[in-house]
Amino acid sequence: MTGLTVLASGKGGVGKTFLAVSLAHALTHLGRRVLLVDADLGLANIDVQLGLDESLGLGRAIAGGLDPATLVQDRGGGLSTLTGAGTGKGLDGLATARLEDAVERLAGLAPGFDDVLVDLPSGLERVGPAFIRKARRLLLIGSNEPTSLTDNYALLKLTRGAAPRPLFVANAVADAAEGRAAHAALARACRHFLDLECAYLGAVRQDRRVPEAIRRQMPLCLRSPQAPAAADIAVLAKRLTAETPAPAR
Amino acid sequence: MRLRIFEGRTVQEAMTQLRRAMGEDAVILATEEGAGIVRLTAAKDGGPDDLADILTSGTSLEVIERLAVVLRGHRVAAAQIERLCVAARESGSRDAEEVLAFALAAHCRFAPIGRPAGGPPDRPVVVAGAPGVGKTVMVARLAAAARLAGRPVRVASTDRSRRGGTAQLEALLAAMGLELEDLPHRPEPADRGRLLLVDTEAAHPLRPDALAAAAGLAQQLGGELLPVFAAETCALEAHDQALAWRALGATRYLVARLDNVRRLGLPLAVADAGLASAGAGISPLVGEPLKPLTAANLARLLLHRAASFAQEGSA
Repeated sequence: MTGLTVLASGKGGVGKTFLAVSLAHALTHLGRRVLLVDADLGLANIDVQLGLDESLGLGRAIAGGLDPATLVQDRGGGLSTLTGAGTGKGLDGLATARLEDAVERLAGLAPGFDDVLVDLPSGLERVGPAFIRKARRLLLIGSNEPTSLTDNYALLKLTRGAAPRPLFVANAVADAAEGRAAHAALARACRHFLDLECAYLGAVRQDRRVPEAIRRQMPLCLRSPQAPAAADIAVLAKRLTAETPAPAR
Repeated sequence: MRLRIFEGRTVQEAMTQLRRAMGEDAVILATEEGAGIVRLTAAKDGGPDDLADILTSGTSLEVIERLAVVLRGHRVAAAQIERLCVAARESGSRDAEEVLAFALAAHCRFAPIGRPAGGPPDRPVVVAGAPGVGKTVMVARLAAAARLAGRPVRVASTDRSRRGGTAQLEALLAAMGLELEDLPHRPEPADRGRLLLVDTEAAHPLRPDALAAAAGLAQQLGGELLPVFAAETCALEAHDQALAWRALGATRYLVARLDNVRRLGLPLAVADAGLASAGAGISPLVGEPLKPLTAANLARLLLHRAASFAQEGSA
């Protein structure tokens, strides 16, 4: 069953958009058809990271009652995008009913793809939780910083009972041990206070080639395929697909 | 969740600090050792100083979602629900009733009728409305309220065409020692200090001239045009009619028979058309005064009634 795989973080600046873009590419390398959705409409980050120039996007589609399917752009190589530019106002300007409708319509696109990755705005505002409640998979992105831990915890607490079981991804950590430590602290807090199991997908190591790739608006796996971060992301993509095997074709 | 980090030369030393600062129910999330230092990361949740919780769950999604469900249950128009929900986000409260009251206060106007005795005289009030909405009883109610407040009041009617139209009003007035008087052609000096209430012929909503006649009378008397809506009227119809009344100079409205309905789309639809709520009839007893509708009590009523249809699963 395809559904939305949302990438969320309680705290901004942990590299969520970078991970969404890189994971999308890594999944296409595994032969999967991927739709990458930028729900972080206020910032329209994916546009910048992919070097896209959109005049229409999700925010306008929803505000104008357009079908989001008509805005999906085929980028070749199995990657399609639906980005957030072209509107001054983010999804957070939408009323709850409209927002729910938007999430519902995006979820309706999922059967046409093997994976639909949704880059959510960070924080606890309505957009993130609204998507999380409708998601099939929740990738929770964080670092080993205490603020990342408390903000991710707050997000899980807010969506508790309605969210899929979180899969934690530690980003920009020094090594695998730091990634596991970041996960262990969050998982312990979740188990103790929320009676919630937070699983671990893996870690992406700190890598100077990541900011370089973002600056050049090139996916890391194309610009620096040998980078440790690119290798880590390829592993994450494999683990994700193992959870939902690609249909035999 | 409150997070604190404690350092000591030994685990015991760090633990002692931790227990002293956070008590027994803190949970250790991480332990690090290095360079002769032990570092414990501990957390506590649910306390009053849970800053993340306090700052983020103010206008929580759950509360706003719940309100949207309540308003949908009342058959409030989708566009109005949107506006109310957007306003609700600014409330900063966690309490559904407070959040709804905040949104209502931001979007609807409330101008309760009546004033304490001894103040300046009110303008004449021309009570108007579609057939059968309860104009006549509303006039009697206003008269009764004035009498109870010790204010002199006179009542007139233009509803002469309908057989028995005045008989009902006369009977109601007789019970409070009042007589139906002739309609003055213009405000009379002798009326100073007396509240003039005028019952009018039913204004058929699809006949603009009928509405205009009531408006013309209000203008002639220098009075207020006060339309009445029956609570059970279709909210969309009421919205259209309210727009028409407003175009003719009405600024407030009364709602009759609020006790007869569970779904309260009407007061919201009329408010959405720009009329302020002047009060609501909530009892078949004429002596029972009109209740003011305020943002706070309308919010309470909306939630209270919604609980009954939510139980039946008919929201």
